[in-house]
Amino acid sequence: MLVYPRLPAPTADVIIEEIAPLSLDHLRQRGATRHPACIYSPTGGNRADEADVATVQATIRRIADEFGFPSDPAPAQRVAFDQAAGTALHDGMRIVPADAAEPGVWAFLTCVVLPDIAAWRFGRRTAERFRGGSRNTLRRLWWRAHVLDSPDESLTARLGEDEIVQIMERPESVLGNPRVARAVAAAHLRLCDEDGIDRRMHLLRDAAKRLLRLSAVAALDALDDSSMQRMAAGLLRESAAALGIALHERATETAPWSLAGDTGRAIASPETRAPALRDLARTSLDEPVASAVETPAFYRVFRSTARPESLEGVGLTSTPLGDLRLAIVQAAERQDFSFDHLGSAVRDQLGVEDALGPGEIRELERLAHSAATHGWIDIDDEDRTITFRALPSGNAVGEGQLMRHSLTQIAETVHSLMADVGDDRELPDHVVSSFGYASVAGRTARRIIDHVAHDLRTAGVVVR
Amino acid sequence: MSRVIALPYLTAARDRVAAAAWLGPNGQALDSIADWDYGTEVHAIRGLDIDVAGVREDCDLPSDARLAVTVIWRTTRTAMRGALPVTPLPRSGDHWIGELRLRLDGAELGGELRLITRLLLAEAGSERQPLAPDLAGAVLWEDRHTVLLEGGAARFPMEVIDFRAARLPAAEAAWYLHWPSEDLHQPVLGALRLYLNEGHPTIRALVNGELSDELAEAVLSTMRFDTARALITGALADDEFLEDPNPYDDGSIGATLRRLATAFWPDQTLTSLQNHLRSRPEAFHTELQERMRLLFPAE
Repeated sequence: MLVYPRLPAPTADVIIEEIAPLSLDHLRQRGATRHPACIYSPTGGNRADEADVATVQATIRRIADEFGFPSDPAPAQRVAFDQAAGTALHDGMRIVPADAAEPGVWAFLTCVVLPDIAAWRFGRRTAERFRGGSRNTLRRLWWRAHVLDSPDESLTARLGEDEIVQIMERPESVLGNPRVARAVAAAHLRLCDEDGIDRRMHLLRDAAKRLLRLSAVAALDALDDSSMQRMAAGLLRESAAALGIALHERATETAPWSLAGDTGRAIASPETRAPALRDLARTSLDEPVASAVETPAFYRVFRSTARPESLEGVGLTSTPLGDLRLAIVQAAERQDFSFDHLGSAVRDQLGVEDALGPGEIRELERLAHSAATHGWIDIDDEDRTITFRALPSGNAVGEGQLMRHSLTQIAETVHSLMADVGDDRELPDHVVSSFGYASVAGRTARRIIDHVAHDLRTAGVVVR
Repeated sequence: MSRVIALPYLTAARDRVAAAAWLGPNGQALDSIADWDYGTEVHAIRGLDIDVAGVREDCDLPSDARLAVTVIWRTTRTAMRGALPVTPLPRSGDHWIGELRLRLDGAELGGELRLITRLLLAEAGSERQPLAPDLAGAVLWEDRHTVLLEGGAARFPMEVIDFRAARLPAAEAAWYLHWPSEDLHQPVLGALRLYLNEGHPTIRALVNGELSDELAEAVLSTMRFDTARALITGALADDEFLEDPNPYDDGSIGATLRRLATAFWPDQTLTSLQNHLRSRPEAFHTELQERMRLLFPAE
């Protein structure tokens, strides 16, 4: 494995300006295998020498010639060049992946070694195709091949440009794991082939969003190959259903995935959660579960005992953001709701431009993601009310529906209990403490309710 | 503001898992690896003591539910990630004591290595409670640790070059801050760099350790101030950033700028800071000197 010379970014900018007016022929003549300003990785490694660099230069030029250099490439030629050059770079450079994340390496190869190639491939000579960042002509090809291709199968050869971008543009997410990226891409291609789907980009975009949401609650990186494939196939089918894309009937639906062999179940697959969902189906959930518990007595009990960290245990949040949280609901309930525009939607809703600090904005987004998929408890210290909220199921993924079900149960039961406790009546201490114990210990909603009900009864408070 | 975690199922209390520190091959705590390079494999080990019965109780899981542990790793230089194959815990037993061993190929790594230890649901078991997790892979408990692979360079990358050879327009300048002010989504590690001029006598002496401590500290203080000033004023001139400083991921230049600005002026919004800079630039720069303790002796 090798590390390559790095061209300092300011030097790259000087060169980019210099070569802007030059013809393709001139650029090809100018191509060199070294530059006096180059440095190597400070952390060491075997250095690529000029002969290694010359091999890369010759290989990529040969491929470009094959696809029509110096004539303007037709779209099909560009695709074919990208595919062939990506494979050649990845297999031929033998570059340490960490070095391949270094902009100076790609700036050197593009500005010094192969200035003709970026100018030819893209026609318009925008600086970003020469600089070493993520849009660099050669860098993007190497990384695609690294993430999506394996010795057994080249997915880059079968995916369209937009589809590759969709997968590669989120390296910080679970899609940064090549195993996950490949599984999703392969499942996508398989479904598109088998079912003759033409809305491929819509399908993949929706599946990518589902994947990111799912990855917030499940360690998808840890799935074995077979489970990974089933997870990806399931997501793609969910996306197709959500987009109204008709799929062929299949004799046997793919089993849900598991981590330890045979019996794990997928929460994301509604049919596997039959009991909870059957109940859910009997409940009208078109309206948010709002305002179910808004009595001062409940507030008093809850506020005096529940600690925010204990709420995490029952899947609920309690950060005191007041109006912001309501704004999230309102933004998320709008017809054109999209996670992509959440931050701005919420700010529109609030009608504030500058009132929020950057930390608040970021917090908002996180909250909104949680809220839109799950649910939360709203604690209003001024009005002394507690409100359970969850979004309409239209906005929720599968997990959210389960949470809605639980919220409904909690809210309705506690509401009926508290209806018997007069607003002014002080609750005995042990009722308060048992409620606190139950919630702090992270017990289920059902147990919390049972504790409260039991203690209210033993305290002589009539409970229907 | 506290971090919001809203999982749609019950999770385990923090103290159900006692996790020992990550240790390196020498038995020392693994916070950074000196002299690391791409050819160096990273070896790490940690002990775990899991109260399995307690986890089942917290999560309302039946006794035949099965748990597993794994480690997810991520690295800031390549944004690559992967996972240790899961270790399923035995079906029986209320307690599990074991260890996680990690061996990573250095070629994929760089910058900061983030290790996320996770206790997962492997099989949900026979009886389902409404709030119990039942998704294979559901995270019941997790813990994060960062290992610095490239020292301080992992957080603020610097390189020493000869400005004349590099054909920089000002060959006798002391340093040059390169950053893509037009795309703040880019990662600090890949896109932001402070180049130090080897051709500048004071910088060369600094790099070679030939300056007195006092002088070296003064040069570094000036360098830090100049760099922060360039970044902050650049950010405050960027209307797009001010309009929505929200969507920048951790580790991106945008996130760093946001942190810098709020660290020095915690009580001001970005827009009010911009107004401050525009209306009274001399006061702004002087305040920054003070807040960065420019040229104060090291404490």
